[in-house]
Amino acid sequence: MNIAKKRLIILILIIILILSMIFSLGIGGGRFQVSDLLSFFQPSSLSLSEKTILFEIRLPRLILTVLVGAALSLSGAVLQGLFQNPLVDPYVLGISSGGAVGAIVAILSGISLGFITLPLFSFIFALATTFLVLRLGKIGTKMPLEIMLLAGVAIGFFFSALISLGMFLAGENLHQMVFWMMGGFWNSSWNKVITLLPLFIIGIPIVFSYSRELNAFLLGEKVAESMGVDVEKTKKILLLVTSLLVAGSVSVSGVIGFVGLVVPHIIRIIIGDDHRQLLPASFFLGSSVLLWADIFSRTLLHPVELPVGVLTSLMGAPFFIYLLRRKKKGW
Amino acid sequence: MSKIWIISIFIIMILVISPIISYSQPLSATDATGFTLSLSQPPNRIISLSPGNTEILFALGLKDKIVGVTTYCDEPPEALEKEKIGNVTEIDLEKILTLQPDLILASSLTPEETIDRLHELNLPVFTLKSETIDQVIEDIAKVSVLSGVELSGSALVKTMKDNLKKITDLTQLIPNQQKPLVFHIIWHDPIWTAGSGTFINEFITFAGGKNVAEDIQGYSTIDFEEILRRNPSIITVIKDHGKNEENQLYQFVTTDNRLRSVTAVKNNRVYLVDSNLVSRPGPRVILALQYFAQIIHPEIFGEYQPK
Repeated sequence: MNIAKKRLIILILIIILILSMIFSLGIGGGRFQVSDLLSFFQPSSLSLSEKTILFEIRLPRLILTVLVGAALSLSGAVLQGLFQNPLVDPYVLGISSGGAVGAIVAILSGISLGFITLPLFSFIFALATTFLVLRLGKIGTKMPLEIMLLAGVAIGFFFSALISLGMFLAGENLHQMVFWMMGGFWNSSWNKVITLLPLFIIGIPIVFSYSRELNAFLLGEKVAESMGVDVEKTKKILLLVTSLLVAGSVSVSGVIGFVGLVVPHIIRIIIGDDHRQLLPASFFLGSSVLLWADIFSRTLLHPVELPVGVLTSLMGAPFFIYLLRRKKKGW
Repeated sequence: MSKIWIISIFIIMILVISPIISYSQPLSATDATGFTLSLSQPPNRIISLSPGNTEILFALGLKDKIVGVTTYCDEPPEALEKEKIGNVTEIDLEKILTLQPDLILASSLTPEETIDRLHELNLPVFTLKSETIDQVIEDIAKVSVLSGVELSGSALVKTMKDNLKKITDLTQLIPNQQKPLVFHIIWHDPIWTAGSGTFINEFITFAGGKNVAEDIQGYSTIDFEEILRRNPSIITVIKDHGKNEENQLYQFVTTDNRLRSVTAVKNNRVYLVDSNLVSRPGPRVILALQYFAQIIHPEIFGEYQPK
């Protein structure tokens, strides 16, 4: 596939995302309403509650979903490339279990700093976990990727046990924990968007600027090094930036599975594994996929809202198996 | 003519014999699982497996016969001094066995496996699974029969039924369009509410209100937008005992920018209700109903002043 064709596909993905965003803004009361969409352009004619619904509930939710979807699939693509392992997902360094432990601590300790408490705790714990894994995976000045991967898995198991213990002890507060673990954009507000946005503005350009280095990693670390890539520095920076992005996502929306694992694979099947196209394409497709998962979560059982994290795994797992069975392109 | 005689004699015989038959098995009742428990004598060592059951036992004057309760049983305060057999979902079977109970009251919160295990061990288990106020009253009557305190049981049942009737007699007169829309919120992230088939729904309906989430079954999440769209004029907020999140939840409802257009918030009609009071199937359901009646119709039932 030539560059022009790949760029066309990215353009199509952008158009799909924009159309999905517009469609999502019109979803209310369990169905799509054109009138809702038109209302966005004439806010003065709306009542306070209609204005609140559109501009303070639906819009921040849309933006948050897009940001988280982009962050997860982009991080997934980067980490899969870095570790040269198709099973790697954004949570591989223990971020999700770290974030969950943070959430449990926030709930059980009863510390209350307002509505920021839970996101703050999960963010700090998620990052701390990543640093712990990076530290454990470091041998001398080097960070051997397979050791780090195993360290991440081991810490993940350890923290899962802590989570189970916390949930066992949580008793009546169990429901909060269950919701957090299922992931969702239930209570998205501008506050959450504003907290997440700086991480994005700084993180995304950095990740994109490492496309060439990631391409070199495809040939193995040794070859990358011989090609003049500062392997250790690249690993350090990319692990740090993706950890920040994923920890930020986890702190505002809980653990949303499968998007970060499956979306990069889909893109690889379509346009190959050149990171210069793979990264932006994953970015846009990840947003769209999570947006649609959220649309389904709000409409399938309306007025009941389903957890998005459950939907992504429900839809993602069978699709992933289908991709595996096709075996068209090996990893 | 002789036929009538025979039938009359037959009826008289039944009338005479039936009390004798029932007297030989005085303590028998069928529980929510379809299990019929018969006790040869009134129990002296009762274990309660839920806070609601404990409240029922205390209300029936059986406090001296209670030998075991759960760690959640805090009402009345004397319940705190009783021996603990675990919390509601994790129950220490060995502890139960050492306490040698002659009646165990399980609840809808007790895990099925635990109830099965207790049956396997041939322990006298009786399971209460009420989902409505009427069923709570029925269950109280059953427990009083099983425990040999039918008299105090029927007195309690009568008081509850009378008080229930007092409230519903008044709220029945309220025309439908004058029934305020009520939203009950249990948690804010996600918004978690009580739909139909819950005690809350019954409280709201019996108290002369309309639950805005009645199209939802049981306890469930609800789309945030729906609160604004359905625009309740009263919001009840769950308040946990001694936990800080009751303030958090109340604060959320009263101060979150997105809820400012909701009539209940504008008119300052957001009320805290005690989570234990409104969720326990026990003798205090009527008090909970009374509180809801005061919240929804203060002009009829007086101002809401929870203790």
